[in-house]
Amino acid sequence: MSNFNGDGRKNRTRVVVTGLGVVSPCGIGREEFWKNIIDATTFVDHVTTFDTEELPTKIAAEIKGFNPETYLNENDIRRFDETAQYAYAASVLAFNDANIHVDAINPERLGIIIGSSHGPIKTMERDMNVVRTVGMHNVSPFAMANASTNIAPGLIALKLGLKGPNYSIVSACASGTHSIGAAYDTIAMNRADCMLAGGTESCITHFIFSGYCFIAAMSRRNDEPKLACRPFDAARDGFVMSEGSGVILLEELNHALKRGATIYAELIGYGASNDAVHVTNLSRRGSGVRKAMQLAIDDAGIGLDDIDYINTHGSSTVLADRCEAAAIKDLFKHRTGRLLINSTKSITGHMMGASGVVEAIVCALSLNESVVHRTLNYENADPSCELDGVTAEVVRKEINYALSNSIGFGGATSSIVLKRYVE
Amino acid sequence: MSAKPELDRLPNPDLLAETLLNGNNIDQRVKAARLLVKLGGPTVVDLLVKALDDSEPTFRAKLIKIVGQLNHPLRSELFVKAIKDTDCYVRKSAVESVIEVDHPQIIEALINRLRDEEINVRESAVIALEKSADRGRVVEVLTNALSDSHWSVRRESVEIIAKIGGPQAIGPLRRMLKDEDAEVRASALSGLAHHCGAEVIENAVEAFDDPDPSVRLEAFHITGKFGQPFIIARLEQIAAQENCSIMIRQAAHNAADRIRERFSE
Repeated sequence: MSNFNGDGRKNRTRVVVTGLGVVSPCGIGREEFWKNIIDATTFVDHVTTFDTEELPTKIAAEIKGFNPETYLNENDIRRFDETAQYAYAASVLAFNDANIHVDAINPERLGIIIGSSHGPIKTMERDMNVVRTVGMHNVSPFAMANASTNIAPGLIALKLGLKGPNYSIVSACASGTHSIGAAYDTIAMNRADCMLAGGTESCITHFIFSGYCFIAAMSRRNDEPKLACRPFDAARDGFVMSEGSGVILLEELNHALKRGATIYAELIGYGASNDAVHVTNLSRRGSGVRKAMQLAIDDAGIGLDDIDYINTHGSSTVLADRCEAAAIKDLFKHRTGRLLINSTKSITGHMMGASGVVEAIVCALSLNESVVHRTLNYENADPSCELDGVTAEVVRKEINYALSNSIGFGGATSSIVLKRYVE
Repeated sequence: MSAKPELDRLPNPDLLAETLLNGNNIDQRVKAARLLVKLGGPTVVDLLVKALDDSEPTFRAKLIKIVGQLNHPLRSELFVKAIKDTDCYVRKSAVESVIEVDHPQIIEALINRLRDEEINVRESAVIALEKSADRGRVVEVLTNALSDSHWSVRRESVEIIAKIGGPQAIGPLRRMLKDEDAEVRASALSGLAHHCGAEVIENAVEAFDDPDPSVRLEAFHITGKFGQPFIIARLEQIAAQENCSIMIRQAAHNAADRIRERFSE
């Protein structure tokens, strides 16, 4: 670590992570999820919710065992799309994990930002089918509320009694990280004391799946589903769609200390940039990804040498992995060999708009517990990725600074820097 | 739907031709094209030419990717046709799939695409030209592409000119150090360092004052690699600036350390 460490953040509001909530194919709740991540237990399997007979990809990581009744009443379950249900459950889990009670704090200073890529697409598909086959009068009275991407933060704010800023961010698969960045800014600018920041997705539907099949973005390794997601590996052939939600509670440090909160990590930097050279692809050297990392590190007030660990976007698509690797190499140059680099998506699959937050949860736990999970199925490095440091095994080591990247269609790129919490 | 098992079992050329030209499922039509290309035969080129006139651009874009697998002297003509397609997605697909870059008609078509109205087609044409064996000509035409309105096209051109190198490359790369876009300036600096080694130091030191941190980071990296000890004082001065970002100060400090290391070896 350099002599310059920490100098760049004088007089800045400190924002800490005090609650973690996750609903994913790899587990519901922090403990189950983290155990499966460290054990690299993946749940990628054949799609069960619709017929994939005519599709070249037949695999995904679906959530099994999620019981919405644990969190919501029967009416709400009937009314609200799965994106909202997952996000609500993840928010309750984050609140419980943080041991925070809304009646003990000022609700005006407690807000929520939940991002999503495709939003409540399941409900929209169902309702469109109703209109087409039966007509307008059979559409649910909740259809329009449910067809809004911000139904997730709306439901959460309503049911948990939050009165601070409440909105959604949509930037495809970067939505989650952008939501964290916006929530961080909200606290840093003293517009709130606490923010729930999350991402949610439930888009394993016939329409969305067919669309990604058509652009050949998803893995076709249907006979070996658990080997399908292999970021940075030479044999990768596309991403594996997944679903769920991740929500973290961000708090201004003194607010957290005053109520004796457990602090998992400190959020110290955020960068958002742009690689819009094509609607779905990045520039060949991933300029926008590099710039987002650079901005986040600069915002964190640290240097490139200080970063110990990069949780990559690492989606396992042929092109995006190559571009992200080029971006990391361009920014970190010869230092990549001393970095720990992994991809959580190798285990969870691609949770789309939720992935950035789930990966931030992984970073917070890695910093807190000094352990970095392996990149599942990373067997033979792809020479075109030019990347050293990808973890093929679990690494147990104290890490001080973690960088997490997200990339979305339309050139959306975002990165955050988390720090091991020290008083 | 019913044609699928039939295609899998028995690639009957007539049925394949019918599916290729008149099928109503793009995937089936593409699959028929792939099988026809595999079977070869005297009529395959005519069929592909007809298919490239199809009204559906998505099909044409997918079809041209298969043409690369066709082992036929007229393959280049099919590419030329697709490179001139009315749809930009088809043109891009053709430019990306093209094989015989140095075929006279193809290289002309690619050079013309450097003036395409679509950024992605121009960018893909720049990348395709890298495959040409006529290095001198590529540098010449890509030097013209350095005035493109889009930074990504200029940056790709800079990177390829830098990769090709030679005395012809130095002038254009130096000019691009003044480009309005930071990505282009950083790439030009990196490309010059790749070619000129220590001779780029003057440009690198000038870039210490670049308004963009990406360019400054590149400049410090290059200076650490090629700089002389007399630059250390300047680097330490930057490293000591308290109002400067830690990332920049650390990079300047590291460059100074690297020069010291190199000269103490």
